[in-house]
Amino acid sequence: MPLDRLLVVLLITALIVLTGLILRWWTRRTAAAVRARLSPLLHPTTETTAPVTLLNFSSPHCGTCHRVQKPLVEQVSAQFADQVAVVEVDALAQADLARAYRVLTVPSTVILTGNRVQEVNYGLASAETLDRQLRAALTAVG
Amino acid sequence: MNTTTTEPCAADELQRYDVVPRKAHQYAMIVLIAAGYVAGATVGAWLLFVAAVCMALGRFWRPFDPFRVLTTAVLQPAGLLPRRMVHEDRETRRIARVVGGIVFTLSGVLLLLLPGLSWLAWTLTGLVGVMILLDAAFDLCALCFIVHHYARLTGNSRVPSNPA
Repeated sequence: MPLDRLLVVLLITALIVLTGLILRWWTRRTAAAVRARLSPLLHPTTETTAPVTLLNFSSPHCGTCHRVQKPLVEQVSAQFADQVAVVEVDALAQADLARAYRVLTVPSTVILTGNRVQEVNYGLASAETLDRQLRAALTAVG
Repeated sequence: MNTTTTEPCAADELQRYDVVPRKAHQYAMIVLIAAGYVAGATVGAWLLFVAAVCMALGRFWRPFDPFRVLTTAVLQPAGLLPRRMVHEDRETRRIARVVGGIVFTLSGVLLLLLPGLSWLAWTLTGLVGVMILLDAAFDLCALCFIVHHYARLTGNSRVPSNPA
């Protein structure tokens, strides 16, 4: 009996790990598919002339969005001054925009350069990741 | 997903936390749940109570969380585990620990007092275990995903008093 249960535990653990790996692969694949588009399906209305736009998807329910991701985005983007425009997007209120970028969880961040989707991050994006991606985006637009 | 430390950047003004004790605690919970399930109802119930106490300690008296103490006072100084400073949302995990502790306690009580409902006890415990393992291994907040899609499907954008 304990051996049977041990096997069940091992099987369930293996299944969870496999599910996690598939989810990770799938989110990366989705991000790559969105990034491959030459032009965004929808673009938020902004009155900025900044060459790079950072869309920060959140929702009113998302504690991580407001406590961690938003301050990270603000602090990282602040060092790029007028070069990066940050647009806060409520993924529930602006469902079309969230669907266009295949946002399945919040927080999610999207970096746009002109008509091009440069980067997509599903889940909490680290400060280092955002910093690196914004620098690369600015380099790309010259 | 977490913010790992590499080079200094503008966001360093925000608080960073060592993520390794948290993960050690989470893996220990998984081991306790698995050992409880394998050992059977009575021992399993007591192991779930131990897990519930650890969850409560981790939430309300973090310095007394035994797995945190083991990690920070023994394993890390001995060089057996590294330190990894990250930006992460502690508040959501505090809520998760309360929920997990309650579920473990209820499951333990079910196992001891209502053996006929052991399937329910292990199902509830298993669901919490899945969430803990996904967070420990992949930093995936399953609860966040569920809450977001529930809000999306119901069109409910009201801000709760305790966002998770």
